[in-house]
Amino acid sequence: MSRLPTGGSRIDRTRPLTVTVDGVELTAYAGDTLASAMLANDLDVVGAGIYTGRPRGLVGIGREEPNAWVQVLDHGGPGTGEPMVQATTQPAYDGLTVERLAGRGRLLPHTDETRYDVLHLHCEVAVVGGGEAGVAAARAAVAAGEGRVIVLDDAPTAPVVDGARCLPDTTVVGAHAHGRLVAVQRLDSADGGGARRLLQVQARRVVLATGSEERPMAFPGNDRPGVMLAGAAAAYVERYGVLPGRRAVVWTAHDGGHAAAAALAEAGVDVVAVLDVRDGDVVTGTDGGSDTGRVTAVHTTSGTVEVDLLAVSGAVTPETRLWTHAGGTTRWSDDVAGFVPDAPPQGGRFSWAGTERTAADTGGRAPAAWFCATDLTDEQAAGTYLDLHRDATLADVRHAVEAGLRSVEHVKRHTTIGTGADQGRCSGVLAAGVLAQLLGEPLGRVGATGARPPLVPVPFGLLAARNRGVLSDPVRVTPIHDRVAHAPMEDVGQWKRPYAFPSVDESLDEAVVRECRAVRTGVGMMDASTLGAIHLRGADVGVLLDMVYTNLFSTLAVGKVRYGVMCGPDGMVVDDGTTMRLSETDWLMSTTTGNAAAVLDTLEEWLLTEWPHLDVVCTSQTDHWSTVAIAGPLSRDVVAALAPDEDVSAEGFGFMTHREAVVAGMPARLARVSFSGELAFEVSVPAWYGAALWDAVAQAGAPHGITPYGTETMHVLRAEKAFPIVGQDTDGTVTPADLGLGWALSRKKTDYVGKRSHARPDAQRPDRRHLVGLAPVDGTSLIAEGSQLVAHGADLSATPVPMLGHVTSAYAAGVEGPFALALLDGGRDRIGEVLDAVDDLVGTPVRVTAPVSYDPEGARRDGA
Amino acid sequence: MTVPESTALLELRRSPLAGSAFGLSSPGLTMVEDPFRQLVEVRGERPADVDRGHVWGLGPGWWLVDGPPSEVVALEAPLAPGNRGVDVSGQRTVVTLTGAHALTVLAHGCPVDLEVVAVGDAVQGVLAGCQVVLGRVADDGWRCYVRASYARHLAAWLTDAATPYR
Amino acid sequence: MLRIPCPHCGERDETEFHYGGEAGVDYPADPSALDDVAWAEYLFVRADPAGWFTERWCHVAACRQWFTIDRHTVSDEFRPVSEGVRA
Repeated sequence: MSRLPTGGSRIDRTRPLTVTVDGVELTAYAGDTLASAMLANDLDVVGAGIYTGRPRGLVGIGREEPNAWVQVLDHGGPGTGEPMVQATTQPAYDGLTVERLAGRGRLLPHTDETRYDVLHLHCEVAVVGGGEAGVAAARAAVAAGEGRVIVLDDAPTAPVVDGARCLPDTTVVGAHAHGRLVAVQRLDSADGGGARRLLQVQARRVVLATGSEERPMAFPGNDRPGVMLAGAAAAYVERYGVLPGRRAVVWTAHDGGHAAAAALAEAGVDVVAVLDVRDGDVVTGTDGGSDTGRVTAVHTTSGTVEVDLLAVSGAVTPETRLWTHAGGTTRWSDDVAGFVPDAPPQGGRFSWAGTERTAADTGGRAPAAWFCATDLTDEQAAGTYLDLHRDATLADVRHAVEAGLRSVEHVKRHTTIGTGADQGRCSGVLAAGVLAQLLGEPLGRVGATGARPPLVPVPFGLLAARNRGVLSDPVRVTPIHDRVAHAPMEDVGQWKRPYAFPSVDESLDEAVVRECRAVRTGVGMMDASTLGAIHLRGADVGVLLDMVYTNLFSTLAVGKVRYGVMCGPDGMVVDDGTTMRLSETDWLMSTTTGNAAAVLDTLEEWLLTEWPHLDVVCTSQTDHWSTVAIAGPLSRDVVAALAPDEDVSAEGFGFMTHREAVVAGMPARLARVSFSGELAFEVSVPAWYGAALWDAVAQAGAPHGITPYGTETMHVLRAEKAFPIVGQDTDGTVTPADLGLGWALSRKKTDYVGKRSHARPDAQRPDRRHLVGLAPVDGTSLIAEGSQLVAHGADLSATPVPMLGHVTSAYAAGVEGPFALALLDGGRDRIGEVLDAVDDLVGTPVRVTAPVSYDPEGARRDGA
Repeated sequence: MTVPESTALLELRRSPLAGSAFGLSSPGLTMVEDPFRQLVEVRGERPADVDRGHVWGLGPGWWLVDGPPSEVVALEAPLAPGNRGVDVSGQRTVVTLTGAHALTVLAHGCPVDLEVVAVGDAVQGVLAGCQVVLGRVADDGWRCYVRASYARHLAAWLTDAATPYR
Repeated sequence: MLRIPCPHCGERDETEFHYGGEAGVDYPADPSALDDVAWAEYLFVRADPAGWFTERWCHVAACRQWFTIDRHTVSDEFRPVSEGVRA
């Protein structure tokens, strides 16, 4: 055991615990990291090279560690685990079970059941880092009365700052524009479990007090266990009371290395030599043991020493990754032999706070910018590791330069140096320094590679947090949903809608055929509550509608309903639906299910930004109304039973009219509209009564064999009448005229949105893509949605095959069998032609038909 | 239009969270649906206060009036005409959150700064993917107005988010 | 995540907003008076500077108001609309 009998500022010796590494139980204390537990138990080998498989030991004590990656098998709860965890940042706790890795973890074979959540925090000042500079910044912000001050500190114990909220165990992993920080907070770290919280911290002002990091120097044989960062070696003694070695040589390029050497010596390490680059001392190689390869001897320019620890320190420099995330720049500083913050991120929200002291401040010697000897042989270069995590060496950088690469970013990608999960903390500046030497350029010009969030590996499960499974995206349901929930559902935007209602011995297609037949010959009922509803009120609603619909609306009488098509300024169809006039000033617009929000946005945009003089107020009522459609030649009988006080005869209740009525005892709005070509009614009630309405319609319709139908049946019924489904049969390149809705384009109105575009020569071309119908020539073949239309018998191997159009919607169960709607070049002049609908390189012969395939005369509208 | 002799009809109403077993009562957090409120959107001047109700500002010249459930069955909420508003009673349901953890539960899913919302004020925003109005009725009390079609999703999410505070 | 200062609700997350593009592009008083080139210009041609840009946003998830603001397209800083620029 390397645990000292006393000491260790972070451990609690009264709380022993056990962790398991590769099946071996290691004893540790609360407050240990997995790495300090390994070191205390003399586990020399903490990982292996990702490509070389060479045994590797601990190098660092925090996020800079390149070697000690473990697969967490059990975070102390069922279904927990984590693919790639740095042992130096993982708290030790009872039950933690891990395997050491060769630089690469494995995805969990099961769902990650670790407890994760998200919390949004807001503050006026966020301080990242709870060290000396961070505490000073937080105190100053509190003293200045700046408001809420939050300190985010990744140490297990947060500092105490009166008036500030200090969060321990919290690692900021991203710093973004406008003062947004993303942080990972370890929950219940004392007891482990892996539970974490993603903090979204929004600050008016951010102080980055992220401290410093230590970097090594490279030399042949530098990947042996027992080669450590000097500051890290000393910190293992101070924090955890663990000796990293018995007999050591310290090699440094700055004064800090001497302080680390003194600390090690005081703890009882036999420090046999302190070598300083600035005195001309350079490590030239190492020898290792035959078992773990741990260092046994160090060769230097001033001789060979036998040791079990080589503590190296190249420099201690500011940790600027969050600074650069936020858009700050860095510059090379000879004073600290490293990159330091330069221009702050734009926008004035981020500032830097550091307590770095240069040699000039302390009266010491200036550091040397030493990375690696330049005179190494090829063989030595191949054993001089610049990135231990990626197993990349000096030889790799030489090769990149020989291949002509000059940019530090290109060399990074060529060699993979700095691309590991440690973000190249020990390797990035080393590689840049070596590149500068090889190119003969100053390091300031070569520059450093950029850092990107997240700062440390973050489990995907944490990013998803609560948004998993059924909670991953909202599911919208209507008040009638429970009455129809037994049916297979179709996703329509976020809505769940019944696709069809197959009986136990029926296929979906068979159900659709049966439901279509019911509507065409009897009566069907459908939950139409998902349609968008927008209430419009004001003296100028007619003026607005005349502009946003292509046809005339201002003349619509109270009690009437009109179908309208809506276009964008570019003339392309964006929505369609019916609008009813409730009173002189009140109108109710219905939109397609998927476009309810977009249509409301568009109406309000025109009203607020172009026509603020119009007296119109829009109010969404989509969820306020629940609607049941009753369709089919027998629908009148059903409605008559539901609303006995109403005259529902063809004369008494005309097509495209509406009225308030008592339906099944409920206050309702009753309308005669049809999307199937059949006699049909829609009943709307306030949403609380939706389920009761559904039940009442089912009961009143039972004597007539009323049949519930779903979205696919509705689509077939619509398609047979060539009522296009906006968003399915249209795609933003389709005008009303292309759809055969030219009748809906007002010639009387001086303007409507899209009118000018409809006058463009391109909109008038006779060979535009028109909506047409398709029927399989053999009467039975299914046509695939999305099929390309080509000339019949076209040679599909002769590319490019001229494309004539494509299938926009296809149906297996029309009145006369399968059929489809398609957009076809000059389609209205091709009716009767035979084409091939090609899907997956197989062409199905199809005949082009008029889009309306059922009741083209519209004879069935008033009932059979 | 009002339907006379309709008290039996009131029994036919179903609120968006009926049957969803939503609800929590623990020392630091109480969550429950407050159904069948009369909700009216009003434009222009701030409408008059409502007995046993709330008036929330949603935006410039835009108000949500939240009144007690109506005793009569009507196509339009009785509150609406007097307030020149549009009845949206069925558009949203109300979930109340009360207790020391109420704000934290909301902050698990809502990126809006709720700490600065004064009692009597409301904010609109997105909570767990659902558009909501959050009205603060007390230091530790909120009324959450959620679209009826999203209510079950939000209730499931709130139930899950409240797990640590049971 | 941009933080966009809504004049009515204060600073909110970008996801609550709908982008409206360049400000000051009015719907023509008489579209039929424009030739095809001028109409296409209205429909499709917008400025795209690297620098300060006067643009429109709508706070759709809250107050639903449209407003005009300057944004620096490189740094994403916001500032009130500059003097003399029409909304």
